[in-house]
Amino acid sequence: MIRLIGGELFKLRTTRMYLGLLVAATGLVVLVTALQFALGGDASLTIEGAASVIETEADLRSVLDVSGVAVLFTLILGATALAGEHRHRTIATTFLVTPTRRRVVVAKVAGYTVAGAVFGIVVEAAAVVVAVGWLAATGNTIPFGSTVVAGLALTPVATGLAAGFGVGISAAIPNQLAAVLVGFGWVMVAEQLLGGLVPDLAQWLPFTGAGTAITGQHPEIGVVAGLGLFVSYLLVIVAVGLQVTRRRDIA
Amino acid sequence: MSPLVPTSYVEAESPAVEVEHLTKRYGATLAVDDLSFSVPHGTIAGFLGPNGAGKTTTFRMLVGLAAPTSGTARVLGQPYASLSAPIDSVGAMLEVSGYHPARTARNHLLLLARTAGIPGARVNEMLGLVELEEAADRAVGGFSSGMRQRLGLAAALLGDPELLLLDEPANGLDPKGIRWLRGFLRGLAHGSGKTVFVSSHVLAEVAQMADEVVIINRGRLITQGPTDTVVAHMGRTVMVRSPDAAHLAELLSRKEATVTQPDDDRLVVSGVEIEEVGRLAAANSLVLYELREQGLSLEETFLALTEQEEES
Repeated sequence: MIRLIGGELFKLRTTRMYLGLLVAATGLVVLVTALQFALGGDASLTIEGAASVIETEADLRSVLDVSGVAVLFTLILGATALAGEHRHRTIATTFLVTPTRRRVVVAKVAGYTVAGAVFGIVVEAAAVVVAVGWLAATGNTIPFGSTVVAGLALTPVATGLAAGFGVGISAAIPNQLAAVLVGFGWVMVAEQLLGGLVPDLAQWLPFTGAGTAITGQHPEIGVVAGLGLFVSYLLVIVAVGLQVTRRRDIA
Repeated sequence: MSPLVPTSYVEAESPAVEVEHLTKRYGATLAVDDLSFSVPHGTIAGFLGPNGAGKTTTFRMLVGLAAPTSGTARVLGQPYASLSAPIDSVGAMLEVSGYHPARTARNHLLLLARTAGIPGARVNEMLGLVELEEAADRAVGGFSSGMRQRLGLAAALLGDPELLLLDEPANGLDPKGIRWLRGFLRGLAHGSGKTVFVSSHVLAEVAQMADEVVIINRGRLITQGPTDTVVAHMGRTVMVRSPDAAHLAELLSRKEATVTQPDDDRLVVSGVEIEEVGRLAAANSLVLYELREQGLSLEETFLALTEQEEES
């Protein structure tokens, strides 16, 4: 299994998808973080005025929470895992080397979870560099403590698990475009609609509920419960994906 | 030193490829219909059939990429999925396989090697064998079909398997590439004792290298056996060249011979002896330019067999 997981990471290293999404997510987070400082609550929009907003650890963590957007990117990354192999017809070779399809899916979930966590760390590091750099450049104190560290530690967990969730979607929907649209549409449309229509349901949904709870943004659920809930959703979607993958003929 | 007794003695007793009552149905379409055949160890076997005959579907079932509707498909005595080290035992180059366009040839092979636990040095060896060293670090997306086919062969050979399954390996190759492939496969099978099961709809390709042939059409087995035997079984024909070919054809038809007239002055006759044709021509004062017995080529045998099957 270690070899299979290594193989999945090698696949990510030898194509452009991972790097492309990472550059896009990092660029977006850097831009939004910088804008938060530039526009931060001050009508004059001056750097000095904006930086003065960050006074507590909670303020800094709130700014850095923008790196949570990486969850959407790693979900899309995961959604290309098996669907991308179907698209490029490399799936036949993958199953020739490892005919037990369950092992392939499990290795992809594990590999993409690791890759998703690394993705989260990189994006987060970029946000930290911008935030700390901005505060230092403007002569402000940097309120860096346990609250900020806890937030930084949890975001990669969320991005990793989102990538694993994406692999589950990808195993269930072999068409790459459809898999990506379903992943994106679920987070950006379906959960928003469901949460709007049934507000009590929102906190129990995979991304707006459990996913945000993992990063500590849902104190009423808590990190551990959020983690347990998200992993449960992940196991369900992977189980569905496994059934589809095991039964599907490779044409 | 090579062992005196083959280490795979038990496996050598069973065929390298064994298909029994294999059937695959896609909705109303019967792609493979109760197909049974076997390929002995150490042979080059041609898997012949027109396009759409069911060759690729059979290959896919042999390696577990498609599930049979009924029947069994075994390689080296067991289902492909039961092999402990699949690509070390069976190398497959299938039409359904593709490459990630952004990945280099070297990385494609390295990926397979790492996943299967094959030493990385073997990658360079295979790139050299298929003459792709210079293109090894280029993205496969820019490869010609011939280069892709060679990369496919390198991937199939990576684990040094004892059985090779090659699905239309000459597709997309130019004449020079086809000649290279033919020489490559012949050297591979005869030099190493490997079993090669190669499908094709281009008969000339297989005729020059196959010891055995399995001929299928519309998913059903037409015939199987040593190439020479299959060709001989179809019998011999008599070729006649005459300016009175049409008249002679009419006379021969009355003798219940089967006559085809490929050209104005040429007949191919079966069902009568060559002496009978000569006597009939002499008795009717017909001029003959040529009269000789000929064997059918594999291609003619193949066409005759598939036509017979379609008529039945």
